[in-house]
Amino acid sequence: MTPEAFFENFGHLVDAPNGVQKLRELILQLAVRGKLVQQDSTDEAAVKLLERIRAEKERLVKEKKIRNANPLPPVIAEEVPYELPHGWEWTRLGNSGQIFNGNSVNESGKAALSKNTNGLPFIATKDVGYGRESLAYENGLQVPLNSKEFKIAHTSAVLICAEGGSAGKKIGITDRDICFGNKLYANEVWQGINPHYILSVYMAPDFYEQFSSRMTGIIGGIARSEFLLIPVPIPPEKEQHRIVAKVDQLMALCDELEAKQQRTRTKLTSLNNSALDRLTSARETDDFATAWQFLRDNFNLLNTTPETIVKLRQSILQLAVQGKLVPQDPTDGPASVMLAKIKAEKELLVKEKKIRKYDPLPPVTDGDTPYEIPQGWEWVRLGDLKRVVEYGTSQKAHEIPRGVPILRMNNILAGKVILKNLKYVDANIDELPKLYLKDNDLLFNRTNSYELVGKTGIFRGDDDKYTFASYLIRIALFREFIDARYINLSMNSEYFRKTQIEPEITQQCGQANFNGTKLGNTLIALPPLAEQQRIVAKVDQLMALCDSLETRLTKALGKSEKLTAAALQALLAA
Amino acid sequence: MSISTTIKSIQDIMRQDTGVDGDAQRISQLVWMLFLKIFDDKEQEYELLDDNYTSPVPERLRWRSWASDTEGMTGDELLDFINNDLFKTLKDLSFGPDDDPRGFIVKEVFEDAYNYMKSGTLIRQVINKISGIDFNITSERHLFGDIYEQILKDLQSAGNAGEYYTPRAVTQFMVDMVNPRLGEKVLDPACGTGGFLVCSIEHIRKNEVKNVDDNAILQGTISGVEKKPMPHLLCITNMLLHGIDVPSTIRRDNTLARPLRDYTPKDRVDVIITNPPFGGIEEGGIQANFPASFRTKETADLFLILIMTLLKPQGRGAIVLPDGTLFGEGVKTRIKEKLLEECNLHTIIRLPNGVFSPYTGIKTNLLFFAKGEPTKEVWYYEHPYPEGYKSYSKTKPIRIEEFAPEKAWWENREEGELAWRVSVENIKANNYNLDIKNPNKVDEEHGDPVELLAKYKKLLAEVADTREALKHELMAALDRGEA
Repeated sequence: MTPEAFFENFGHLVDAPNGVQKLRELILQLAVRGKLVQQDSTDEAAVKLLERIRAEKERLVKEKKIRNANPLPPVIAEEVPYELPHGWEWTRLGNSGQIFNGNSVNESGKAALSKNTNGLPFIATKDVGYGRESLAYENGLQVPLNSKEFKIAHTSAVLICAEGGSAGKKIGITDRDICFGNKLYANEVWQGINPHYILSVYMAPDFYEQFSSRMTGIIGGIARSEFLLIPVPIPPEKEQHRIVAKVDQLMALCDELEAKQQRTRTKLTSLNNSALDRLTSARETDDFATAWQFLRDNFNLLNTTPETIVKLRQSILQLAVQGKLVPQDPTDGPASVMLAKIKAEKELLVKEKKIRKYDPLPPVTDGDTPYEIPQGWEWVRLGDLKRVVEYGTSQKAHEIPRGVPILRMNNILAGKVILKNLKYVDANIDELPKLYLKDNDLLFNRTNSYELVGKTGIFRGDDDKYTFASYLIRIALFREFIDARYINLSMNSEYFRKTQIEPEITQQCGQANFNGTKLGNTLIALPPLAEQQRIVAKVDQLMALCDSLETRLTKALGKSEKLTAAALQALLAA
Repeated sequence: MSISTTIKSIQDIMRQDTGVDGDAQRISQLVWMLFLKIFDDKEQEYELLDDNYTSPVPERLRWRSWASDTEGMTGDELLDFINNDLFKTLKDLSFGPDDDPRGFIVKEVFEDAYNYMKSGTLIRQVINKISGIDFNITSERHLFGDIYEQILKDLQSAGNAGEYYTPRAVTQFMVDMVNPRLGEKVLDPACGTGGFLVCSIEHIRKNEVKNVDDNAILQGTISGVEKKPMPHLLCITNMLLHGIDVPSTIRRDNTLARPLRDYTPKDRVDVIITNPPFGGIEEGGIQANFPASFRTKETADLFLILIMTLLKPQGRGAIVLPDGTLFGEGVKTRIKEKLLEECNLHTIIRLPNGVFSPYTGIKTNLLFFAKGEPTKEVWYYEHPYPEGYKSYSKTKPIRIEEFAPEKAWWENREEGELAWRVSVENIKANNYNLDIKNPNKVDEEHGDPVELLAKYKKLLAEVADTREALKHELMAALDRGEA
């Protein structure tokens, strides 16, 4: 990708998931390759700087201030990963400063340190961030000032974790003198090396590559001797300062961008929720029209992430059961006619002793109904629509695929009954054939966690092949008059959950329960049969669109993340 | 060697003993041994101060006589001595609570204790470890308090009786706000290992105790009751360590077992601070001790009634209660009605989830009230998680510093994002439901979409601005590279 194309699509790239993170890496890579700031030919070349450092070291050794160490081998051509600008120099990390690890402290040692009320902070790996964050100095552990046992890393020492899962990743710089753990290496840089430049070097992906290739052992760690050998690029001293300033500036912009992106995401969610709630809670025609207008005008803006589609689906169901999704047709006749027929049918069945005699359910009063329904609709209790409501079998199920498959609560998912992950019971149990499922039976989950109890799905499959477990309730409806799919979508709608289920859930021992009697009393807004079928067809169509939109959005996000990574990689190589 | 390593090595020794089974027994064993040693150390102090001091423990049974010599009695001889002399004699000491309170404590401790260890040699090793600790050194004593809390944590098979270790920060905050004064009687009717009591002692000592007389007053004013033997024993030892020389005011009893009507004005106290067990269920007989209209199985509710009875007029109370009590109905409603009529429930601090992790995740509240005048209004304060926390945990517990805003707000109350007040009329109208949510929390979910859209678009524009700025910087840097 050319820089032109990159900048043209800059918005897409950095708004992709992890886009800003990738951008940060790019900035660091550019910085340590000399591509971020202008070289200045009047700067003293890095060669001279390194020469001075070597002389200084020799002086200190002579004065016995530091121990003599064998000089590190020079960086050879094969090791050099990329070309450096004029005036820069490759050297080994060990030549940039004095590098040493801290002190090992065990539990009792920590307990002792925690009693000190002043002194130097003791920094362990957990107190170090991933680069630019401040170290957690106030961690409760302090080393007394006069302690001889602890090594001290002075202000502006660059720390890096050398061992374990955070090796090479946890990086920081001190703003005061500290003592520190033995899994950290401190680098007290020589005069002429900018510690913040070294920080950028540590954070750049190039360095981590070198670092990780030198790690050994099961836990994963780098020996000090190996660590010192890592080749690092050193710019002229003045350029180091310019790089540090530029990186600071760009990182601050990245921080700002990231924070704002985060805020837009939460804002979008609340905006979407509030817009859809307006629509589904509108009582007057005018309110509804205004809410719809708003939603329509901003539809593309609102539905740009997979998360908002979830709420959209909810709202479609809610609108469906409010009679707002398809037009009413006066020729359908009122729902009350059907109800009378159901009643007559039921009485007949009782007379024929096919179903048990039952007590009439309490009538629906105006105070009970959660919202207004169109002309011709009726509020009814679910119990008045049922042929049977019954609990499943408590027979122990097994995994061997022999006997009758038994549906359990995990088979109910998003309004559907999924015929996968099956268990089985023997075919000769007492409850069979009574508890065989028929096509279009509804299954209701009566015991589960609070969030999941009450989930309902519709069984679509062959009659008399499957049975169901005791945590489920089967609702069989009078199919001639009721479309079970419509009842299923009602029971999966938001009003049903909020006003019919949740207030009646009882909780015990971490389990939430809902029983068959309460289920019979729940309220359903019932349209005439023909309209039920039209609603179901419309919802199916809209849900399919939601599905495809969601899939595409998810795919697009995944793609854009990969694209960003690729684009930045290409840019760096250019 | 530091105390925590000592304790650890002791536990390692005990693991080798066939008689000791599981953590509970190990701790139980450790606790009586520590008690005896601490008691002996304390006695050394008493002897210095009082020439006529005589120990309630027979000379041959004192720690210094048989234990402190590291080359002393060991093996079967030691085992026999402990089982057949030490325990027998100390259990049968004939001291009443009044004639020798110290002796009474020793007797009480050994009535509840048991020697599990079967190997005299291992016992000797443990004893030698314990002898190495000097409890008269303040710093060691202080650290020991923390170890006690640690032991308690180990001991708790997580809330089986609704007992939870109260985090230090919560204890400290409650005591600071109730501010017990020197001379006031302080009671914790479900004191556990004595966290609230120790905190109260330190609070009073820091602020008011100036001389020996003051100290003597303090000694007699701290009392607690604990139902279970092990926490009780730990509490007594804890009191000894914190300078309460005669912790006979720490009784082992179920406070609820005494009929409410039997309490007389002389039982009343000035200050009650407690964290009663929640969700615990009391046996039927206990309920009968309460007036019929207040009978319930819920331990926390029974404690609330008891506290109202036990406070003097103008007495101050602070109690930790779960959300369930705040919104509960039935008996709970009547209890809350009584609370609001008889006491001024001035403050409820609502704590977030996880303060009591890992024992329980339920939400809890700190209720502060004063007896004697009816409630007019209740102030609520919602304690937020610190920046960046999603919950508290074992490694990220609640800290006392987090209560600084509440402390500042306490004397100078204003409604705000976290604080709100509710009049008693509203609470009554709401059937005494005290579970009132923060009305000042900004709820964007139900805001006006048009307004939200404007904000959202503005934010999008801001994102674009920042993005542009970044883009230009990078372009400037890279274009040079191209040139």
